[in-house]
Amino acid sequence: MIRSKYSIQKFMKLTFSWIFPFFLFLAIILSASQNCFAQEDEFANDPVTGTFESGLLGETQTIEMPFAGEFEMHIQHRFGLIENGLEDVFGIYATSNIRMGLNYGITEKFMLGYGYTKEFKLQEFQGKYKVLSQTESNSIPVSIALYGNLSINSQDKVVFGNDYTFSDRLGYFSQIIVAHKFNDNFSLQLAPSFTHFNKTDSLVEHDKVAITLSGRAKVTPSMSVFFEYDQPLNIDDMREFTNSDQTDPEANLTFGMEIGTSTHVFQVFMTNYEGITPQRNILYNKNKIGDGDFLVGFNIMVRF
Amino acid sequence: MKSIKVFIVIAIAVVGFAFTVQQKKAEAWEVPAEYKSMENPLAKVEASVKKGKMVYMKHCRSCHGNTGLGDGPKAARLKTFPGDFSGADFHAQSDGVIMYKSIFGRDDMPNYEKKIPSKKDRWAVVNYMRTFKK
Repeated sequence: MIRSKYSIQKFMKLTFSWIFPFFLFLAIILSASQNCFAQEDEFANDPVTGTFESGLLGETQTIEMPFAGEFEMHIQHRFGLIENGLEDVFGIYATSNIRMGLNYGITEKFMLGYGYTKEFKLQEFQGKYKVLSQTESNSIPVSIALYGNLSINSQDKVVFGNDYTFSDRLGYFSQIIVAHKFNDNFSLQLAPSFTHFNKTDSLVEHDKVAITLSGRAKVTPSMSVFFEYDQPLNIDDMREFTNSDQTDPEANLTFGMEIGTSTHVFQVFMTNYEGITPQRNILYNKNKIGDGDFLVGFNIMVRF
Repeated sequence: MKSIKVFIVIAIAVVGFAFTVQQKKAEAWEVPAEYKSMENPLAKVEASVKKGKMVYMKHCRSCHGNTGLGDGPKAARLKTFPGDFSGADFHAQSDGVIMYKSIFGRDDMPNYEKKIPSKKDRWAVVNYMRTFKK
């Protein structure tokens, strides 16, 4: 395992060459559209509700938050790859990964959460802050949230090699989530993220910038279909090692269905990701969309 | 041995029946005067009814039923009958009264102030419940 040679210059270069211009473009498009849909009613400045069903959509976070004083319990399950067919009933009898988590809404705009994931015995602490809420009249065209996740690998220290220190266990994931609700049936969100591990396997980079695009379309008042696409930016200018392209993480496609009730949300989907924790998914995914390396996953969320 | 089994089955049935609570009819509901006269600012057009249906199906359907007859899957477990929204009594109430009862609740009827925070959604669900009228 190799420790980080963290390069903020590379990250800044990428931010100004790709991400910043993209958001500028998005802002211009959305502000141009707001005049077309402007409403002159007393709800015009109210924040839109139900952009997404819950704070989690497949593998990614959304701009939705638990209400102030509300707990949200998450049970996330990923079966094995479907590639073996009936031999292990499309991965149902294969080794699976599980996460249990609990989020708490401290205010309407701020939540904290804790979770643990079976693979790599990850203990996670996460927080999300809603910076901006889209309004009914689109005078504010998007909702924006900031999300951060700190994972602690709690495996035996032998795993981390000879010169072990506690910081070797830590992995970070931070994300800006920008969402737009087009109407009651359709919402989209775009979320650039930055992942960092203090210590990684040989030739695996410590930092990775990725972009996630996800969306939801309602089919009935309580059921919807959704998709998510995660693209790690494997850009040569960002490389830490000259030959690290051998270990480049693969993109992910998730698609499935969601049922929401007053107290529960159920999601069943196909995905390439098996890590559940976002930083593991972004940096270590080896399942290829093109090779059909999909697996079945489900999320259950209970609000109380 | 057989008679003991029969006795146990009868005993369970008798005890079970004794503890079956009959649903009572809802008592009179005191609604603050400001809600009685409150105007519904949301026009009863297709868009608001559709939005109201989404809210209703998510939060209300499980007790009040798909068509507001009070026959949802959870209704039988309630102490109080959740009401028939298709009848004349229900529709004789003002929109403000229906909105107040739907959002603020009492006893078996939960409070939905946090779960339905948007005023637009609150009035939309009233507009949708108006479509239950027979």
